[in-house]
Amino acid sequence: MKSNPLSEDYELIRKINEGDATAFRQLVYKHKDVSLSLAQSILKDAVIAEDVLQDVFIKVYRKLNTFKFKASFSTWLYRIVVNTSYNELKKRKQNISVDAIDDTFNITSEKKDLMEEQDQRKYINLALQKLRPDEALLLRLFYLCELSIKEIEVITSFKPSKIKVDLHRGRENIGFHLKQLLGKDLKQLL
Amino acid sequence: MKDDQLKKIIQKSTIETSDDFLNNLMHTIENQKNVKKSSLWWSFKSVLIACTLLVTGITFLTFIYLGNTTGSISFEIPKTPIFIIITTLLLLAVNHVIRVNENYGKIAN
Repeated sequence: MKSNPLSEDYELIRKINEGDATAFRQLVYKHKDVSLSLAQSILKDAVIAEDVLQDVFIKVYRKLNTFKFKASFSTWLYRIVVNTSYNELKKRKQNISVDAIDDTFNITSEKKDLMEEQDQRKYINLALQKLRPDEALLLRLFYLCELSIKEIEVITSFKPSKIKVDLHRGRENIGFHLKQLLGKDLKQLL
Repeated sequence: MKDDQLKKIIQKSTIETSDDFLNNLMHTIENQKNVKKSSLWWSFKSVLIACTLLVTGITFLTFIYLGNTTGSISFEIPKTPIFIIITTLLLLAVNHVIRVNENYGKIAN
């Protein structure tokens, strides 16, 4: 029987508040990759995103005793990830030009025939990098984290209308960029 | 592109952190805990030094005052300079404690 991830998180948080450091390690391990993906959507730079994620988890560790067991931990965490990432983006005043992103990842005929999972991930991330931060973030929150519009609203503080519009644009744009990158080989991703 | 197809694609986009991410994070947290402990120790030490100076000064003054009333020592107590010195030392100690706490706050943030 699969355990409830919500109660799993709550259990870990209780242990951390009692001083169990390994429980914090487990909690971070469970959420780090999705959190990094969200930060990457906004910051478009893996190294900066990982630095931001370090700060996020340090904040989480310090504020965990204020966590109310009413909402899910992941919603609380993603809100911190999103806020910290946008603050970092503002601080750096990074106007990321989509043209500046490295898209020199060439598809060899061999790779076309058998695209490995790692390559697939690289192409998808390349396409996501070409989207605006809001669009990439919303696509990941909606499809990767499988959150509702209401939950996304709580995390991002965006209006529902903006969320719907940006999701629609994001869907169109990622389709366009994937087609540009992969052409007919897009089918291999599906 | 259909919604379920896009979902399948986006779910493949998860990025993994570097291998040493978790160890670095736990190490940073441990370091911050130690900074907090040492800052508290230094705050305590500063207060201890200030109190020792204060007690020494007061004892010295009391001794002179008592000696003066018995008539064995004829010495004019320079009250104002001693008061200024003690107050300044106390303020410096308090300032040090505040500064240490502020520095810890900056590191923790």
